[in-house]
Amino acid sequence: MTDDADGLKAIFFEIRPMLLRLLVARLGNTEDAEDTLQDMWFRIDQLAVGPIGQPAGFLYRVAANLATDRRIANARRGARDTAWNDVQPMAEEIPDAERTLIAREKLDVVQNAMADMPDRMRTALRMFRVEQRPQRAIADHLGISVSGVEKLLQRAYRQIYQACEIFSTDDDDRCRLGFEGKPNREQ
Amino acid sequence: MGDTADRAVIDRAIDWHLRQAEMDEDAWGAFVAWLEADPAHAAAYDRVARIDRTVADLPAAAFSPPQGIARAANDDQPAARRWLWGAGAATVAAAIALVVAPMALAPSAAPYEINTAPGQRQTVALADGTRIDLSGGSRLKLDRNDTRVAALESGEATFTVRHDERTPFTLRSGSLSVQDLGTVFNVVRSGQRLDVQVAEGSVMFQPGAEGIVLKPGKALTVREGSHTVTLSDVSAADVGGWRANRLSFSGEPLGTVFEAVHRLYGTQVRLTGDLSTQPFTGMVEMTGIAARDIPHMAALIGVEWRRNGDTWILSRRGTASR
Repeated sequence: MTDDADGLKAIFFEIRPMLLRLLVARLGNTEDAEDTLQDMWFRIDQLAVGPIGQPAGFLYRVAANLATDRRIANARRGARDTAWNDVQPMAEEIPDAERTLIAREKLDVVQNAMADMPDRMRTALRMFRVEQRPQRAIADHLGISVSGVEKLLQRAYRQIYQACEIFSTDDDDRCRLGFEGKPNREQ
Repeated sequence: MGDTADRAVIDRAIDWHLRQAEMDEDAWGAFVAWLEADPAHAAAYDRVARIDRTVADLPAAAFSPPQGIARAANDDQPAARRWLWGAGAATVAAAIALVVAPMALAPSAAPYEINTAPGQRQTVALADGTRIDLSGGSRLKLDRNDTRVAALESGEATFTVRHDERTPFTLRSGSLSVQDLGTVFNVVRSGQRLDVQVAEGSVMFQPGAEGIVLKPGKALTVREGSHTVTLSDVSAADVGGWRANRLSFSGEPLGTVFEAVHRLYGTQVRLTGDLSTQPFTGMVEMTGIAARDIPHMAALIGVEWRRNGDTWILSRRGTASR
């Protein structure tokens, strides 16, 4: 295990600048990005169990996942803070209820979008996302080519993306990139 | 978003997302450059990444054909069954009324629940020979008509599973699942966090082609909603040690340690300052008598203890709090 860990650490250092750039691009600020990198560093021993085929790709994936975790956590906090500024004290339960409602509506919209999908598109999405199967396996299962799977998934995500655009002006918007102080896009 | 991102940008963002599992170093570099090139790129990708999490957290019913349409001859059924107790299945019931498909197991399922109070333990023997040792402060869901599924909602349990290759035993917890491959394994569910440790045989976490197989002496930690798992080594002999009042930890935060103590013995411990995040490594032989155990543990950890009624308070020695 230490060999694996040492190997992973060496690669971590090697690609650290690029990992940082990825995290800054995802999180919109250097502080959160550095924080996330440090998080990764602390966990690196535990991450390295057994040989990892593509260590650099693996580390990028971990960083990307952590960035998304943080974006979601920040969004929740951001929504709460904003709401708190706007309402009277004591009403602090309302934003929670509101957020729950929005979350539920969003789930509803996503599920409706999925109900409109052809069966095989839904199956491809489940195998890709829930079961995390490689695209090759999905292609075999559906009896189509890998590029066919790619197209199916691309369309599936686009449909959900478009369905979710109705949320553009509410809760979701407040936690967009740039919301945390660094206006890197126009609101 | 204030303005609708260009379709091409959205498609590109989705494309990057779909490729991620197979991207090499150069591709990641190109991805970073693309993100940096335009804030609209980063915003579109951010949205895709978050939509992706929503999809991952959906109940199984969302992946089944809508009601009224004949079930395709594919493998949607096992998915529905595996997600029977999926995260949010209850909370989103109203929202999915339109899409919900008749659940394969629903007519015959006879779920029941076992709850243990902190300090109380229970052993459950299932008809097929599987044994479940349930720790205190735990909630377990079982099905009278299907002994090959269980859901640990909270707390800790050790599973000694009678292996059956054709119908593997599946333990669910929130949206996560563990499947036995002939096994003795221990599972702890605490809030969003799930810990799995294997003593004998092996289990598969999130069964599927990319599921993670855990062998004896391996442990896995994951948080609901997060897609990063942490693997570590444990002593196989110590897995499920709580049943013999033996608790072992490797780098666990003290908060988690005393949560386990509370579960097992009902002992209330308050950790002051940032003690709850301090990691603890070691094995503790417990007696179940708080007046012996807590001072003993405090000495091991190197902290001071005092008692206030039923609550034990641990704090750093002498030093001013940091």
